[in-house]
Amino acid sequence: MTTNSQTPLLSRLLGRQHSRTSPLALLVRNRLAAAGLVVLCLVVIIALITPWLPLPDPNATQPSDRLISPFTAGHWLGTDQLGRDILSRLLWGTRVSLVVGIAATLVAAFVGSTIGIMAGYFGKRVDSMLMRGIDMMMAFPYILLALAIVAVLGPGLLNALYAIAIVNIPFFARNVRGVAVTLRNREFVDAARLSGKNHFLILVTEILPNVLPVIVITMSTTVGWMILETAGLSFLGLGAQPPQADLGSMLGEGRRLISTAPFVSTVPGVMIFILVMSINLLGDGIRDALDPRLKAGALRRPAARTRTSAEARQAVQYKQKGVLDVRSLRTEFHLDNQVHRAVNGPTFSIEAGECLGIIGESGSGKSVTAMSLLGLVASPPGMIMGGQVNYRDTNLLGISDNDLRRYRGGELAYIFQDPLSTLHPLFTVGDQLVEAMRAHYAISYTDAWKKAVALLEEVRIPNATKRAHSYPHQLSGGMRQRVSIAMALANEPKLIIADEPTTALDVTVQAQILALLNRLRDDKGASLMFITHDFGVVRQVCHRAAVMYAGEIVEIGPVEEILAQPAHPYTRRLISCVPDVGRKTDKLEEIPGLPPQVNNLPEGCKFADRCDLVTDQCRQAPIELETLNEQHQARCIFAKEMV
Amino acid sequence: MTAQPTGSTVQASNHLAVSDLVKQFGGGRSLLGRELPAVHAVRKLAFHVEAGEILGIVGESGCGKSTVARMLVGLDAPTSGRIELGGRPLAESGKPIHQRALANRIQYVFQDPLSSLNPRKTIRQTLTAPLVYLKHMNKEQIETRLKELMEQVNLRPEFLSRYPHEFSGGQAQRIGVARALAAEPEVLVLDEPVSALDVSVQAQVLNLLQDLRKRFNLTYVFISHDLGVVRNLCDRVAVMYLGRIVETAATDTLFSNPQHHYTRLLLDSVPGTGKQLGVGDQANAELPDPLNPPVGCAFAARCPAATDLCRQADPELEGTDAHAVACYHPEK
Repeated sequence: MTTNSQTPLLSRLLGRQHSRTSPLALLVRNRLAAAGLVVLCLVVIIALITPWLPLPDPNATQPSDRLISPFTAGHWLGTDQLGRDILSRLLWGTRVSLVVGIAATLVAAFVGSTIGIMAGYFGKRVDSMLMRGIDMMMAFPYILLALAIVAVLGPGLLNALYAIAIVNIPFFARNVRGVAVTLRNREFVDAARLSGKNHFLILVTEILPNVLPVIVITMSTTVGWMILETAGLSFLGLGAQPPQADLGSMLGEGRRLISTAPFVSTVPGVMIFILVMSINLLGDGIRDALDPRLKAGALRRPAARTRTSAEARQAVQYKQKGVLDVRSLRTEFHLDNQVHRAVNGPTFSIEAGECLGIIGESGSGKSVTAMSLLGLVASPPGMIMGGQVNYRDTNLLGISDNDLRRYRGGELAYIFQDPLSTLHPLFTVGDQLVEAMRAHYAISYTDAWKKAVALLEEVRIPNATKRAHSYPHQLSGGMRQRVSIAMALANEPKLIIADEPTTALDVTVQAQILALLNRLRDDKGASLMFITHDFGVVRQVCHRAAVMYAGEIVEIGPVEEILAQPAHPYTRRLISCVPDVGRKTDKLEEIPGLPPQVNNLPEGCKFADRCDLVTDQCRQAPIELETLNEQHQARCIFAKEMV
Repeated sequence: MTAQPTGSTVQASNHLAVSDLVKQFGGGRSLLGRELPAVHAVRKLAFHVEAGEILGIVGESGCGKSTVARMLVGLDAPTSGRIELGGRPLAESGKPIHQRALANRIQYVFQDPLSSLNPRKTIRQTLTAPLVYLKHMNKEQIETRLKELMEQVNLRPEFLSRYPHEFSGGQAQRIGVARALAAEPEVLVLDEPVSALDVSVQAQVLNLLQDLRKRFNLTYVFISHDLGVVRNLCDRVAVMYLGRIVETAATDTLFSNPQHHYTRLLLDSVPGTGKQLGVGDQANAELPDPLNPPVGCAFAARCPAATDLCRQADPELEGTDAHAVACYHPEK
């Protein structure tokens, strides 16, 4: 049903944020890229207005004025060996180099992207044929291929342009194909087919807009390179033919005079440097602004532990309740000057051997609560602002990193929703179990392996001895989740925190895993904190349950009591939303509206906008938990009347 | 709806009928003539849906239910078999699929509402496509129809100019339903339409689907793994296991009196009903390998009532129109 773990949550938050910031704004914020943009604009503007500038004819020779030094009146950058004005030749040459470089990029981008999109979209034979052709082109050394093409076509600027465009086609084709392949399998392409669009329309109106960023990124990073190549071919005399000026040919002509008149070759050299450098800086900036992976913060490495405020690190002042005692935990995400209050002060405790269920919909803060306990919330942007997590009369939020590492996966173990992403794909499950044990105890590899096999037997994996040598991808979803459970059990945990461990599984497999967790908890006397969105699962495995809404616990109490007599309107209506497998109702109950945004929470009751009992009093001030009996509390002013 | 034995003739009335449907992925021979592995995703499937009826297809991941859905709407071509709507063939093996003709009569609602919308297109652009390419409407007609569609799925018309990322899952799924309704189809195939949604939002979408069916006399093929949802929405249910229908009956009959042991196991696996979970399941048995399906009944390895007969021959779907089961030893 609802898929919900930390990474999607984070990317959801980040995605929403950044989708509002335009790529241009991101680009300007990047100083180097902005500098590149300014320099490039200057060069382009000068090149554009060159024909109207009061410059001498770039090709007019004046043998009497040959090799005049720079900074001479009339010839600010001097003259070359034929007495031609270098400034004039430089500007006209820049024009040529820019035009050829950009034209070659456009040609390569058009042809390469067309090949890439077709190969990626149609797949199969079309893909094989097109991409094998591209592979053949890439088998030749790059510059040799360009030289060979010019050799066949004959020297000349236009032929150099063709040669450079052709050798760059593979870059575009390969980049674009990679994206097009993933897009082809996206459901919106199927949806377009069902809307009556033919292949051509789908390619142009559905696929192309989504690969355009990749094409732009590839263009921006290759255009500088293509200008260099044009200059290279001209330098070798295969591009621009005399007397036409071009940065490469100017450099080539100046090469012979490098000792007597170095400025003749230095001037075009500096211009090439300025041009390519500014384009590359800009290109990197464009890539950073458009690349979705960079937006989602994938390249930012989170800290090993969630940042914690001084207030939350304070030591325990009182005798703690149960195995784990959490008080007023507050976790926030700080993104783009906005504060997302994901966890707003839940207080709960778990007794030895007890199973506490945390129920909530996506965005209710249940997973972030669980991750906060051992500092697993990604930081930045996560930050624990307050509260205490007490275990053995110590506040886990205040202990040293080394102590925390000892607890993680030791006395306090996690089981996550998707075992395929939590198990390492390159190690056998046996090896991973061994590693989990050896990270905590000094134990020999052979002993650990024996224990690993015993653990796999304990979680009822058939053929445990053989299966220990399997890689995660060789196991079914249910078997993988058993391995995760075995790993959580490896170091005799006192508390297992299970975050939607059966949500990704089929119902019959879920039944097996729930039965297994129940049995293990009974056998080992470990406590269980079970996070889920499913009331049925809670009823099956939990003793007590806490219902979360907008980062708060709105109701907490024994499971049977909550299900039979829910005291909070949200709990009551959430239970009646669930379609009952035991009987048929004509119309399902629904809760109108949506949960509040965590960056804009109301002052009073967070459920007020969707509640049918709401009064003015509900919206005025935060609602406290009402105690109904020793075990059962609800955050509603009508709680007592509801029961 | 009748649950017909495989290979029978199809009645010519206005309903969706599937017979002998087979879908195989992979297979064939390599360049060197070696046989390539083939997955039989759907094996000889047959079912009918009456006009205005909701047929639920239930099964666990990998049982082939989504493949059936994709074949019904023409996104995949069947390896063999026939699909008919109102007596006219929609898809036949060996003939090309007329996507546009098909899309006018049978439409699809996707599981993941957000990934079925192009992130770079506004809702207006997405909803206009079927009106232009399938209905050939002019600009005025399109405007009227867009407003009508948004009203039908309870969304405000201003949402038309927004992009998909601005919507919650429930809203996006309503847009998915609006896109499917745009072509005014007779049949909607819904592939787990609420499984990506939260419970409170799920109820909103399910109620909307009920209302729309009554309003436009639509026929639904509703694919789901959630037995509670199926019980509350569907008129009839077909249970699939490894590419075959193992049991089909009216919803109440199936839930109160399941005859196939797999159906029984599914019902007993629903948590929170007060029963002990999964009693009778040979939990340690390996699941059948779709690359190499067993000769006999695919469920035999997990079945408490399996005999040698079950392991040697695969039972056919047999029984009355009201209740058919593919089992040699059905529960009484």
